[in-house]
Amino acid sequence: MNKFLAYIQKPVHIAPLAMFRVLFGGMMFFSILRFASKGWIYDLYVKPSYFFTYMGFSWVKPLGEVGMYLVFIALALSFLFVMLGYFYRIASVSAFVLFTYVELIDKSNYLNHYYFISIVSFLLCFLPAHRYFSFDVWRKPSLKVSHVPFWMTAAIKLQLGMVYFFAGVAKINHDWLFNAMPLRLWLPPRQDMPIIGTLFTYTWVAYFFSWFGCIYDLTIPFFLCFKKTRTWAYVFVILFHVLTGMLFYIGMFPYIMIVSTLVFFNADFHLKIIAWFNKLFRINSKEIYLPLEERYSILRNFLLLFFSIQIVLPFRYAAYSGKLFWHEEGFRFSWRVMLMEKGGYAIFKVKDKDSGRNWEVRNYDFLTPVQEKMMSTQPDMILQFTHFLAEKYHKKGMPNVEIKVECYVTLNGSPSRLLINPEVDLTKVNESFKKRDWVLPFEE
Amino acid sequence: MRALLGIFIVALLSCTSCKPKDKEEEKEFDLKGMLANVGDNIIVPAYQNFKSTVDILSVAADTFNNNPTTPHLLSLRVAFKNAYINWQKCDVFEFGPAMDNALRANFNVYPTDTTKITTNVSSGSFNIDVLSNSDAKGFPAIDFLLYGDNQSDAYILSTFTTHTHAANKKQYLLALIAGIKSKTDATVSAWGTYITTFKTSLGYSVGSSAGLLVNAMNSYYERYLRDGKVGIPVGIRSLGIALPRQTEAFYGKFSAELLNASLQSFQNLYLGKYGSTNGLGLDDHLVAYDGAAIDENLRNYLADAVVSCNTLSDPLSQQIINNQTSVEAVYSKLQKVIIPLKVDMPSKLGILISYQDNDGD
Repeated sequence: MNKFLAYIQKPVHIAPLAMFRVLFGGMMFFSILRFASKGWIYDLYVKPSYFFTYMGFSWVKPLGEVGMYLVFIALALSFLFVMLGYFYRIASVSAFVLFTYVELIDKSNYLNHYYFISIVSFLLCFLPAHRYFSFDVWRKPSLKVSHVPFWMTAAIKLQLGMVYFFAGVAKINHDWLFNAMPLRLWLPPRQDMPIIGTLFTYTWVAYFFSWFGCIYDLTIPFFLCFKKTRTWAYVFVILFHVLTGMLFYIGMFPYIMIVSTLVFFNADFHLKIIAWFNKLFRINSKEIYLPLEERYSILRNFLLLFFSIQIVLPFRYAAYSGKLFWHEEGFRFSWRVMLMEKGGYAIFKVKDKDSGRNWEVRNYDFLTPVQEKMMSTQPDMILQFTHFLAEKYHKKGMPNVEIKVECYVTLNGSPSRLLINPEVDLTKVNESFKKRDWVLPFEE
Repeated sequence: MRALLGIFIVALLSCTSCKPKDKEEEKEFDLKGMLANVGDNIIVPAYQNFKSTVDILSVAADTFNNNPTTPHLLSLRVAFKNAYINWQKCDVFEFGPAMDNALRANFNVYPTDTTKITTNVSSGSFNIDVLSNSDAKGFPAIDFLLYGDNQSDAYILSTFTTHTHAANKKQYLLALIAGIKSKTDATVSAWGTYITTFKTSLGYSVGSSAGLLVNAMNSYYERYLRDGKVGIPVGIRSLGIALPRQTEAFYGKFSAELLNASLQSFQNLYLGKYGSTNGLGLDDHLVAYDGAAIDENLRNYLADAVVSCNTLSDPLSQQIINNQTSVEAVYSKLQKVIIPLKVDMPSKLGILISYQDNDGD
């Protein structure tokens, strides 16, 4: 243990960490601008009349039109200041808090890559990434540090590596490897893509991509770690992300990963870029050895715990029997990225026991198309919506309604089948961590 | 690592330059052919037919305006009904030019607001292009003007001839019809050039023609055909309370006829059928993409729904009151179509069902 602590305590140059701060902050600044320019602030956080909150976070509410625009302005500025390393402590905390707040508003918008950004922003709150190559140092030169304990840069690398590795582990399943699903469904429609498009009509290409993707995800963190393989591994990183970026609607994620993985390169690489930058702006910067004086032991131990939890979290699905992709218990926060093609349609059948009237709900009256689409394949959201409806009818003077759900779902091209037991009155069911017995099993 | 990269690049290049002749190729479909068939033989003719019925309607309205007699009222009603029926064959194509001209919101918002119409008529000053008048114009408003709420032909005629606001009412009628005509003309002429875009925007991504078409079909079928024409008036999609006055063409009493025209043309669109020719359609696409079972379901369910809708009689509002269960049975046939249409088909063809743009992961 002592040996291990000594190893991770060893001083390394701060340049990769500082550069990561610049690149990550910059990419996020542009991501937020892109998000705003697409009108998504309105579409996702102002327009909906109902929001699917996370368990335990039902108190998180959007702030209305003006409020949400202000939040996003503050968020964009926070990431900009993180990039510049200007008032970094405040900026990094505000970036993390605001971004996470926005993500907690509605689980319809959950994406693994948003979760990734929340976590990285969280790490950046604690790491002294602003103590080199930053406006804070320029403002207050005594802040400058040249070396930090190895675990500080390693934390970022570990986080990135985990995203890949767990994404790879998740791909080790029968559908992905032996049926080339869902790539077999996703690739043929992209045959109009230039140059390689014609390839996508062939089944073997889907198999090739599946296996390649799995091996890539499992091995790339290691190839990036070793000096000998690093350059070539990075070529693969670019190739892989550019390709997936062209094939799928995944927004900024590929580009964020491409620049983030530069943190694996050694200090010399980053120092060269910084030197070039300094020369460009005629900044005089002397390289002297200035180790971080504080030991940050509490933070170090906290991060050890934090990563231990993260390593266990993706495996919590094992506590639930049945097909994970079908019931999705333990699916989120586990780096299961682009793994399944799922589509559904949910019919909410209401019976007012007092009047004896029966009807079906017009979901589109309450939900946006994206919300409805997301809900239609995810049991926890279906249950939430049922409770929302029951409350709504209660307020309208119908306290005794029964709501049953007929929900048809297709998974990886399977014929659509019932997801929820259509005989169960979901108003009587409460959400918990227990196995959901009202979700029907997926029979092959 | 170097070797891996080499293999990867060589594999990619060797496959792009030559086409393996083995039986590995699976999913090939003439999407271009399907879009050409749907565009040239279904969409454009549908709009042209609609335009000619609107032209006839416009002429009939002028004739009636110059000489408001019972025979002219009756022939105006015939022209109106004909145009309304032909609109049913275009309504589904709410993308491209139709979207630009907001045809659906301008032509067919019902139930129409009769109070608003009466106010507009009696004031004599109105602007039918403002948003607040969207439920006081289009076919449903004309329906109310020409038929009234269960009134005799003689009475209706008198509202255009001797009543206090007769002149205003004629003016309102003409303005509504002129509104339909100008938007129809604009759409038909826009399709003159848009057809090329439609036929060449290949692929299945959100803005592609296949993506637009399948999304338009889904939202139309779900909200306007199934719910609007049957589900809401019969009560299934309105808290279990029947709303017979919310049927389409409630005043003219030809709701079932409109529904049949709409569903029939929807079925033809799916099949790629025009006249008696069955061209390339989504059915063929599904079969080519290993979805013969989905196609079979869709074809059967659509055929069942067509048969079932044919059993309805006009006035539909009356049938809802007298025999609600018979209309509910029709609804359940319509409902069956939505699952393969909205769940299985898009998934099989790789089309994102998204009336809204966003990222995935």
